[in-house]
Amino acid sequence: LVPEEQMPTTLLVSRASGETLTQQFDEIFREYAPLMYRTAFIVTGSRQDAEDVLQTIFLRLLEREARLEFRTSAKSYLYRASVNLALDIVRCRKRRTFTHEVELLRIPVPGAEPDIDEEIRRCLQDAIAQLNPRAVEVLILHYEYGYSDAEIAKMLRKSRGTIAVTLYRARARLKKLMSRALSSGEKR
Amino acid sequence: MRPDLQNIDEVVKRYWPPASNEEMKSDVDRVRRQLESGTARSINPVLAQPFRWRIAMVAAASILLLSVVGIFVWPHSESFAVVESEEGSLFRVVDGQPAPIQAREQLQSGEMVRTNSAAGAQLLLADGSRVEMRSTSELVLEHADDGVRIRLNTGGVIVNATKQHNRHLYVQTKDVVVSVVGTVFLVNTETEGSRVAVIEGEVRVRQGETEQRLLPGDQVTTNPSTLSLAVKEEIAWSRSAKEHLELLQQSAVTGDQNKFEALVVRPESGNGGLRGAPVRCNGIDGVFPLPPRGVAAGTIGDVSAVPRGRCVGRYVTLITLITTAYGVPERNVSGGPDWMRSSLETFQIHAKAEASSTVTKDQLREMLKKLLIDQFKLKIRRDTKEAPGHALVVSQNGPQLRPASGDADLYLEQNGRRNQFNMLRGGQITIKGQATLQVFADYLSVAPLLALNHVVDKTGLPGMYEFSLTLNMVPPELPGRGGVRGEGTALSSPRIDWDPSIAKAMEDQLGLSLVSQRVPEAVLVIEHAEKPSEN
Repeated sequence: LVPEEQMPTTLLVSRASGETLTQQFDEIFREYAPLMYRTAFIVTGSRQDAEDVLQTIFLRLLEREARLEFRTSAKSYLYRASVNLALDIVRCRKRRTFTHEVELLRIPVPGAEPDIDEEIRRCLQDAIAQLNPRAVEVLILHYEYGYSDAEIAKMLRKSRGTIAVTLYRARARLKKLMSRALSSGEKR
Repeated sequence: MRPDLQNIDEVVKRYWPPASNEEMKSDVDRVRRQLESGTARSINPVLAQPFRWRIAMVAAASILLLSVVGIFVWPHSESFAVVESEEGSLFRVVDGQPAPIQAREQLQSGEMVRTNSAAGAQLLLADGSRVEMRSTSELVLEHADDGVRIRLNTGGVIVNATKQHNRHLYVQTKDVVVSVVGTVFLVNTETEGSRVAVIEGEVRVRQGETEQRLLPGDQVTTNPSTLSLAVKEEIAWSRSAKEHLELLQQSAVTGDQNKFEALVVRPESGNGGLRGAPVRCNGIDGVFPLPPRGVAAGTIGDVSAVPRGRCVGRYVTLITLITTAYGVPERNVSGGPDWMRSSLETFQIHAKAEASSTVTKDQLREMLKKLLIDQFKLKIRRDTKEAPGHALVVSQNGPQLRPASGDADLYLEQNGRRNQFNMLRGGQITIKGQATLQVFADYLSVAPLLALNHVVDKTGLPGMYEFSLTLNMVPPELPGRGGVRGEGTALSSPRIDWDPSIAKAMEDQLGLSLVSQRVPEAVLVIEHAEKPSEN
């Protein structure tokens, strides 16, 4: 991640003549696309979805052909957009799964050895997707990027106490959701 | 084997979704190529679902439901606005519960925000428009079909809308919809009704089936019984009140609503190199500039000789005309040709307003500015300079101020009478009312009698406070006393003394100090002026 002080305060994305991408776009993509992809992947657990998130956000910026003169940093904006869109995708997918009568996905294939680690990982991912976007933001910055509470607070412009409480509550919620999911899995 | 969820931190760390750097790099590169080649596709998580008819029904039902409650929460994946400034007074309302929002936080479409009674806040929309919220206001920012909508539930906003191109910015209250394409305007909504006032540009106001167009200075109210204030009073709470007022004045100057119908502006010499009396204007609400302090109206300055609805002056220099029109002291005007200040280059002014029986002082002032632009080809620029003045700071023992709410209003009171005082007798005079510290400082700068020059708020205290500052005025020594009056003595403003001093009284009663120092002061810079042709 790029240090906060090096972040541009203005995010300028526009399509130059001849349909080529502008230099600013280039810089923004190079600088933030990995962060956005990784964030989306953590939330969705899918490379395809992470790609979709990346494409969609940059396309929206291009289509808008506008200046986003937010005082906040481009990083915060793009990071938050990635979390939100990734959560949208996961929630839609969940809805789609249930609509399609498919609890099948959860039914172990007869004779196959269940992959416990994979099951727990999926359980965690499902639980993350049920948290509110702000909690997910904090969680990813903590577990994926290893930021301290103080660093996250600075980045998200919240107090350190707020971050600590968000993290505490997010963990408690994860515990509850995972416990419930794993119990229902054992019953099956 | 089931993990030990008691140690959830370890479980999360262990099972955290792995992201391979190589895979990531190749995926990101692929997205980049697709964006460059124009083959990238955008997804919409809502429409991506199968059974679209079902989704459409759910969406329609949601929109119906949400439009009933006035909140539109989807999509939330794009930032809609950002909090530009707040003073600990802005809250996000979630499930009816307020949660504090800090500066630079982003707002999503459909979020409800509220300011408390302490102060307002400023929001920056994605299109660059700014929304300044008054204290005790509540609104929802949301997408409209062709732009952005601000649902103002209560309180007031001043919107500085950028050019909207083919889009619109709407402000909707319970009884009006205001639509704009790029302008500055104010909307207030209260239980009794709503008020809309325009500062710059043009807005359209729709109330039921009727729609009307408003221009700068115009305002409408949906309830005739609600108090209609002048636009400049309506915007007094704004942190940018001065700028808005300037815009309003400029718009009024460029407009043709008020003008002089009969006009004489011609060079007039032969006064022996002496400047004449300043030009004076007489509106239905009084005369400006006022006669010198300490002298009863009607005894000097030929005030009575200025008929209603006119501006009249003999042997007037251009600098005098400028200071009169713009209401600034001469020391705050810089630049311009030498003749502008020369007492050998003076002019006769006699101008009569078209609506002479109804014209106000403010309108005459604007007409005088237009006269300067038309006749003297005056071009001015506003700037700031460091000048002797006072900084208003919190004294060592801390402020003794009581928070207040509502609109700013300050006045002088003597013997229970508002803005009426007998300065010849002296006695107690009280500055009363409520205001922010900035407005209070501005008031001290211009309030009659006080003569504090320029006062700048450096207390750092946000919010509105109640003021009651009692000053004891020592009767002035007038040059006319002792039989000198009327014997041709030079008329100068008498010096007013306060016992204790204003600074001491302020410290004792408000816990605020006045510190003499150089402070930034607004100045007018004359960039161009030429002598008028005789008419």
